Amino acid sequence: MKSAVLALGLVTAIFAAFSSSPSYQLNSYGIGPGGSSNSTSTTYHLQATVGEQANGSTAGSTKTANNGSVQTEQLNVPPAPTLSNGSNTYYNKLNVIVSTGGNPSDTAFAIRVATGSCNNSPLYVQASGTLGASPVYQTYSSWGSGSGSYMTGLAVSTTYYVNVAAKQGLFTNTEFGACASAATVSPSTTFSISPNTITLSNLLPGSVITSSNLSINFATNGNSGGTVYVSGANSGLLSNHVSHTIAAITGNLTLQTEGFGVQATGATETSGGPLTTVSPYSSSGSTVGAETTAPSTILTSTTPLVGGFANANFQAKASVTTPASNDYQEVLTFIAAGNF
Amino acid sequence: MKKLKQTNKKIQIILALLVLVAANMAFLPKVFATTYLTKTSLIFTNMNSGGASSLIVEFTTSASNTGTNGQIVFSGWTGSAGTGTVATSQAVANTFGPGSTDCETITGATAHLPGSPTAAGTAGTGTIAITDATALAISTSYCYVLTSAITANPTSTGQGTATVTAGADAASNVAFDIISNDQVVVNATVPPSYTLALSGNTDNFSPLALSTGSIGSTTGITATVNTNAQNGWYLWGLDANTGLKSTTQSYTVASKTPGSNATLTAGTEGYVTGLPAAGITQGSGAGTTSAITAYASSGSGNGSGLDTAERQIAKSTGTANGAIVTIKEYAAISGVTPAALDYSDTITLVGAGSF
Repeated sequence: MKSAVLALGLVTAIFAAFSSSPSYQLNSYGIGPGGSSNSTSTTYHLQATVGEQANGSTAGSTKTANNGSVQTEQLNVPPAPTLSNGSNTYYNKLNVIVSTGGNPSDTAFAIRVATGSCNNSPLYVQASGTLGASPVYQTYSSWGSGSGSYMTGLAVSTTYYVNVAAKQGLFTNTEFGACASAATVSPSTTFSISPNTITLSNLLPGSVITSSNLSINFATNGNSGGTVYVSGANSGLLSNHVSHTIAAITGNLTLQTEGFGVQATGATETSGGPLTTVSPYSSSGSTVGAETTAPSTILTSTTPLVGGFANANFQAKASVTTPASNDYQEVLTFIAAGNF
Repeated sequence: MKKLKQTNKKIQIILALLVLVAANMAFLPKVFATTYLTKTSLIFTNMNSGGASSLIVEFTTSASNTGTNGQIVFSGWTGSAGTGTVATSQAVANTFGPGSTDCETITGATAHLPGSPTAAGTAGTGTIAITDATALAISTSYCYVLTSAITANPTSTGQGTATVTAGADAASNVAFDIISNDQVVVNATVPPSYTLALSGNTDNFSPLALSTGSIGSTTGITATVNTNAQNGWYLWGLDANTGLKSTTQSYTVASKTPGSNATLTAGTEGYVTGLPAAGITQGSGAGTTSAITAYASSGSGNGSGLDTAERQIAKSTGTANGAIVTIKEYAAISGVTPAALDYSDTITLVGAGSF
């Protein structure tokens, strides 16, 4: 009993010492259960209670009641955040929007992430978006406000359970609230071209002949989009019969005596992207790009895209002296890769 | 004895700790790596089902990745049953294709794998391991080429996935598409063309009156040939009268030695057609235009007679755009050549391309 009194006296002495600091002044503080605990001045904010601090709790299916007078000053427990997998496109990240739960604007929130079930061996979203072992408290604004932020480095095709805790100052962090869940998807890339054979009209000397359109479909959920490449086996239209190649060129065929090239047009997408044509294949009219034996970028997107589509056409011009033959041919290869 | 008990206790504690660590490892959630590759791309140079393909690999290291080596693992590839087969023998290169195009040019990456990386494949697990690379640089975009990476793509079309690892960053998941046909065959025809144009249809001797003391010569006409015949073209001449004929005198100054080169002599009757070398130009095109030897004229009076047979007088070895040959006639008369004002001849010139 004597030692308890001494201890209380020591606490009182410490408070008294702090209260006389030249840099701040305690306006009020109390000792004992349910005492006044808000003390502020221009340079500090103190919330303190010395006394009842029991940690027992009673939990029900929809609520948890914790004992102790400090509990009455805790922030609102944040409700479940809003999770998004980008309309089933995110394979290694999820978007999370913190729900503030009506807490003050200077409230900081920590985001907890688990797999398997809510709170199962959880990790925490770090400021960078990666997951770490320690919680990081940031304001609603720092978590991206209404746009949210991305938690990254997630596993593919996995359901994640996410909940949020709040705190204001140093001592009032709430427990983590209800979990929201969302699942990442598998990485995806789809690609097709049609048709696989295109025949140009007769190459009359001096005329630029343009083919019908090749249709290109491309979609990917790669974080950094993806790319469509073109290459050609002969670097031009080759006739084995007359051993002559109408060489692939980059430029305006109208100004050339002879040449062959590729042009991409009409790049669109259903969402995401945008899918864009890439120089030297992105011009119009009779200006084309040369294809070579190595893959060369013809279409690209720097972000994921759904329903990407573009046309490509092939243009050729023969001169008076281009050897006549009916076996001129180029085999073009179109390949695509997502950028994950 | 007491010391032995203490030692046993220490061992038990260590074992317990090891068990705890192992248990934690086993139950770690799926999310614990903190650095990741970005912009990871696997470019199949052949996307066709069942096809063999090179791989062009691109990735960007994280801000802390200074690890070495890496691997690519194709999900579900076992090297059998059409699931996809990686080659056991692999080669790491920085370039691709017959033009040895740098993978940096293809992908936009800024660096090659450091060191002297090598690779080996395990078909049964669909794994290609990259070894012997030295430390990667942080936040750097790398590329490399596995020239014979895949001996057979999956025989079924559709998406596949793989994980790409490089250095210390966590594996990056990528998807690729196997399709039925990634090629477009573009066919074209260059139709044959041949044009022959004569500069005129009358070619009089100048002066018109022939004399025994000299060899007469016409002004000459030109034949212009344009053709895309790969093997060139030919020009033939034939003479309806086989000489200069006067109807009123019923007399012909006969063509001299048709098909054989000859030179006229003043005062000795004769008539030849010649193509002076100075009158032959190729223009553009791949061929070389020349006169046939018999009709190649070395000068006035040199050439060969024409007759009713088509005599080849000029040719080209290839295509021509504006090829020109000049055709002249030379004649000599003797003192007994009947006088007349109506000596004339009709020479027909025909040509064709050799396609």
